[in-house]
Amino acid sequence: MGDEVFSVIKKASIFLIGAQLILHLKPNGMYEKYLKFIVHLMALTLFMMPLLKLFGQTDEKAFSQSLAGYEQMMQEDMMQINYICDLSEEKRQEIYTREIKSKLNNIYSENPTEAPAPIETVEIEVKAHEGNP
Amino acid sequence: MEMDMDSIFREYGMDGIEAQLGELFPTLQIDLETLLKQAFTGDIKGALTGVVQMTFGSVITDLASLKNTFLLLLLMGIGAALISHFIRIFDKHQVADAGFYFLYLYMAAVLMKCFFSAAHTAAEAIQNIVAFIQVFIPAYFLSVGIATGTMTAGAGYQIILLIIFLVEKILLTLLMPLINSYMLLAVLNGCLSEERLTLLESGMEKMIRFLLKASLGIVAGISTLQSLLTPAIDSAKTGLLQKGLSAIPGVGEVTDSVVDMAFGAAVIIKNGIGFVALLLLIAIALPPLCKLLLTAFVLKAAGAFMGLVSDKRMSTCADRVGNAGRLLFQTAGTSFLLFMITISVAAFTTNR
Repeated sequence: MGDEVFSVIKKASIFLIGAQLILHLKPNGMYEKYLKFIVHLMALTLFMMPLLKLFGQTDEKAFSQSLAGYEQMMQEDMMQINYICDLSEEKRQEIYTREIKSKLNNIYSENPTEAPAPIETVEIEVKAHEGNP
Repeated sequence: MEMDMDSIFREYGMDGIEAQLGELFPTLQIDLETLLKQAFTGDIKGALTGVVQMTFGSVITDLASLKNTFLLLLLMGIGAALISHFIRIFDKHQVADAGFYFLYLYMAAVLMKCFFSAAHTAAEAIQNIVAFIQVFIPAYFLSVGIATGTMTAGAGYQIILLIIFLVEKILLTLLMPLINSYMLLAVLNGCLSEERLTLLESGMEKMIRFLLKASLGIVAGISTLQSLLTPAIDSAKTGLLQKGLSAIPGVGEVTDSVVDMAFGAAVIIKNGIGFVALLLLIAIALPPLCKLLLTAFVLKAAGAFMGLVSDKRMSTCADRVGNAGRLLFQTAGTSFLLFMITISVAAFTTNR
């Protein structure tokens, strides 16, 4: 434990000495207080690392947990996209229509005073515009 | 007496111990036989003179290098004051600040070099003390076992093992890096314009002092408690045996006086070995302790004298590194005291 604390303080010392050097050699003093604030914030992060490790939460662990969560979400989305892409045009249209209908039904069930409007399926054509509008 | 000394030397394994100590501490030139003779004949002054001669030769050589460090720090303080006043003729304070910063870094490098040399000395001193105890203590507790009883010897040996564990795991592995960290924080605090690390630094100092005091208190308490109980049990056992032997008609009185004489001789041997153990412990621990104390004193004195001419941050930094040196001295001193107290308590409470 003692060695870990020493290594953290060593890292923080090197960082702070370098940061102070940059602060001393800055061209003008306009942003000095903001620079100092950022430097001290970073130093605080360096000092807090062993404390976080004591509570079992390391930065590497938190990062790997978040990464695993994002990877899972990404995989689920990709599976859904692949499923939809594999279907035929009619089947896809059917799924979209069903999805829209269920959303609309949800809206009407939340506001029962409004009468449900009839749902019709129409075809629309989308053209790419060329030149100035 | 010569024959007796030879037999004691062989029976308690002192020849092997002398050879091992010679390998561990080649500079000390330990003559166990002479020391034991001086202890048995009551020549305390002669034994102490020999130990003092053994130890203070190395301290005087260390003093010369510390004098150079002191002068360098003083010169640096004066130079920093001169340069910072001279640089102020420029319009921008930035030049003066940057100049001071570089001088501060140079002084910090000198202080750190001095401190890490002292830290190395302290770690080496603790390791030497532990190595000496590991070599010498089995013979001492063998003599305690013969003079008092096996239970007292076993309990004393357990306490010594506990102290070795404490010294190696707490003092060496935990406290030494913490003291190094404290010194780094002290140096770093002067770099920052508003001394933002003061609270962290003082908190760390308090924690180190508390751990030192707690370890000393725990060990002294345990060894005192143990010495209240086990010698009494052993004394009851040997008393029972002695009373039984003295009850034998005809030879009872003679046996009683012979047993008394044998136990008296065993106590003398035990105390002689204990005395030599303490003397050698002092001889091993005293030179590094003196060096550490002198280093702390020189750093604090440099800080005090620099304060007369130089910037406050520079003198405070030297003073705080001196405090870290004092903590090193206290750590090495605590490890020395832990064994000293335990051996003294064991020697004092096992007399018949």
